[in-house]
Amino acid sequence: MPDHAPQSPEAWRRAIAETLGPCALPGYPAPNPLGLLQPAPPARGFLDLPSDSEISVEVVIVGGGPGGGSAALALTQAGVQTLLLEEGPARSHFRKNYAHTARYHMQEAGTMVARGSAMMPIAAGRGLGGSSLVNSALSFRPPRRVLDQWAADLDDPSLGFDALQPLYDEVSELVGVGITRAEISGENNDLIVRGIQALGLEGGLAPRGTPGCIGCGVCYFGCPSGGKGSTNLTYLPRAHALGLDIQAEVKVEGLIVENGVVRGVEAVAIHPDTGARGARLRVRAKHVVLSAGAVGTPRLLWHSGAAEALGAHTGEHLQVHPGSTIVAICDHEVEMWKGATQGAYFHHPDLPGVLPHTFSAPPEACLVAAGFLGDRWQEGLALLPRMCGMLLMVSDKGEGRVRAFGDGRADLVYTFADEDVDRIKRGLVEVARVLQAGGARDLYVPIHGVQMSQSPEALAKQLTDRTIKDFTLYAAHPMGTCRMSRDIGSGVVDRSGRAHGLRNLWLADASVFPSSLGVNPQLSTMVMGTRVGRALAASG
Amino acid sequence: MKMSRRTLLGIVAAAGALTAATGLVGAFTVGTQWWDQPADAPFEALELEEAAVVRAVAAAAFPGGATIALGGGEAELDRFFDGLLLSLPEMQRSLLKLLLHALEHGAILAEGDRLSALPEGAQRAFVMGLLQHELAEVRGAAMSLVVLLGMGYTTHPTVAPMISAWHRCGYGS
Repeated sequence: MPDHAPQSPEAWRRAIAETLGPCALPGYPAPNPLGLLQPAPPARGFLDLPSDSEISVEVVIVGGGPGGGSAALALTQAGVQTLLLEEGPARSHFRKNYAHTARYHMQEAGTMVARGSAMMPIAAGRGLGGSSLVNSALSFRPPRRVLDQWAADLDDPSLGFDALQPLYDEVSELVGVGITRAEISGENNDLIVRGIQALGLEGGLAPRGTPGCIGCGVCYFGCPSGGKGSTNLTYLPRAHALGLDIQAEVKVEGLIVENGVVRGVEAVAIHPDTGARGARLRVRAKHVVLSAGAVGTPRLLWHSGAAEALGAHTGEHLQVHPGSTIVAICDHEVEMWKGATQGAYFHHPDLPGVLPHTFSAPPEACLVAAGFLGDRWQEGLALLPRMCGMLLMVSDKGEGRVRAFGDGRADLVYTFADEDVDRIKRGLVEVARVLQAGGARDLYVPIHGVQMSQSPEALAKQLTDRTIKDFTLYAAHPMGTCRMSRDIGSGVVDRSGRAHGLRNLWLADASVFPSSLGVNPQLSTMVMGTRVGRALAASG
Repeated sequence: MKMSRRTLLGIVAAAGALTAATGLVGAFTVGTQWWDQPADAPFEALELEEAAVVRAVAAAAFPGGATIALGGGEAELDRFFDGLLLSLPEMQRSLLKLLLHALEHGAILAEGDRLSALPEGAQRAFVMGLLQHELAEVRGAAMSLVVLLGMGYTTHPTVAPMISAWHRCGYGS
């Protein structure tokens, strides 16, 4: 279901029942209570490009995620003729397993791995909606210190915390951000909230852009109820109503650059099921907006040969919010997969830049993370109903870079900062305190050499000598690889998102963040996309 | 079996990618029921010796028991892995097959015989030893293979309904 969100509550209930069967519990509130979510817009696909062709538009956007979608709405609101190109499928798919999600809705089928300090898979979404299709829609605003530093570094007060709040308000309203409702939070989140309250920490149920959430607990597969404010149900339908043209199932492989001016893009149709290459599409445009994400955008720039003209910072400064996880066992049933996937968080006064929040993953991933394999496999299966989880991420000081392999795949390197590793360890201990204060008992971490702990102190002792190579890692927030700067000597784009080194090229995604956010990036990506779209529209 | 650090890193990259990955699995599972093929059907990417290694790893990681009777060794995960390999680029396919050979022959040094020829307990000891290996690259490669096979195991039609009891909106096609 439903890429095309039904319009009436009753139609929505029927669609949910068809998709979820027994999961569609009676008594849940009707999705889309505020009418925020709209049917996904029609998009052309592979079969609509039977032969090589060339078209001309005013603006072409590469990428249909939160950055591209928000830029598209800003442009079409200003009456700018806009074409959006998307590599992923023309319609989003939901199936009840991760294999399907990875195939259709993850860049490079989910196979991107950074090397460097340690091997670290890095996830990024694709499809009309991009990463918003497969994230948990956590919608935090960045802290004041981050945004005010951006304003100072770029000498642009409009990037400061206070100045950006109206735009955050606007974006939050459009995607339906609200605090996770208690009736769909589920015990995995409620346990964390109890722990936070018992310890007197700041935090609680988290803000999410999910106005129609019914608590399926499978956001990482995609949203089966169509209740998430993903870009395909929020920005893109509104932009389409204003004239946005959408061509999906095409992969942009090159930029058309003439004498230092970007004149368009070159793409090839990719069959969504087989991956077969089809007809070529050449789009000539007055302006090109790249919104392929903080991996996809610099990867394209390097693969297309345009990177060098954009300066030495192209693809540099990759930051990812690295972190780790605790899976804990309780004496009571938690049923991790009932309720909001990630719906609680806390801040610790001694750990600025560390954001612990709910963890949820498919059962086999939880069991592997906790080490329930071999002789302990059956024990782990039996414990699944009593499992809970929390992860933390840090606003990283470490950095990496993005390049492109010869075949166009992303080539990623990331180097951990010692300070980040230390904060991850200290954060895990605080997470352990919260989980146990909320009712959890045995603590498991996916870190080599660390056994099950029954107290935060015991965990802290075991973590002391561990290095980053001992951690099983995963990151899903790439950013900063084409950062905003005052000039080409320190970044890739100016404060409005316009490239320093090539005329008529704009970037509108998480790649332009000047530094690590410290919070989940969806909302800020939409803010940046809106800013860039408006700046481009105003540029004439 | 000797293996250079460069090759080992390549294997880890290939296998590690699949930890997050498995769109590749989808490419196969959407069109074919990997669990429902005749026992004598030929493999398309795996050699028979490699299929035996896959079964051995799956049996070691996911033994059947009281909660779910079907063990990984009986869940046709060699068919699952065969389909996966088919959908991979040549380089990744070769590296993963090399990993299977490294596991098969690495067991000779550790346990005195090829992995696929070892008794069940020794197979499990060897695989669990790899998952706890001092070298992060070895652990990473073994864990990636296990996670990948776990994705197949949990979507097997005998297992999926049981997992669905806890993960009510997931599993199955």
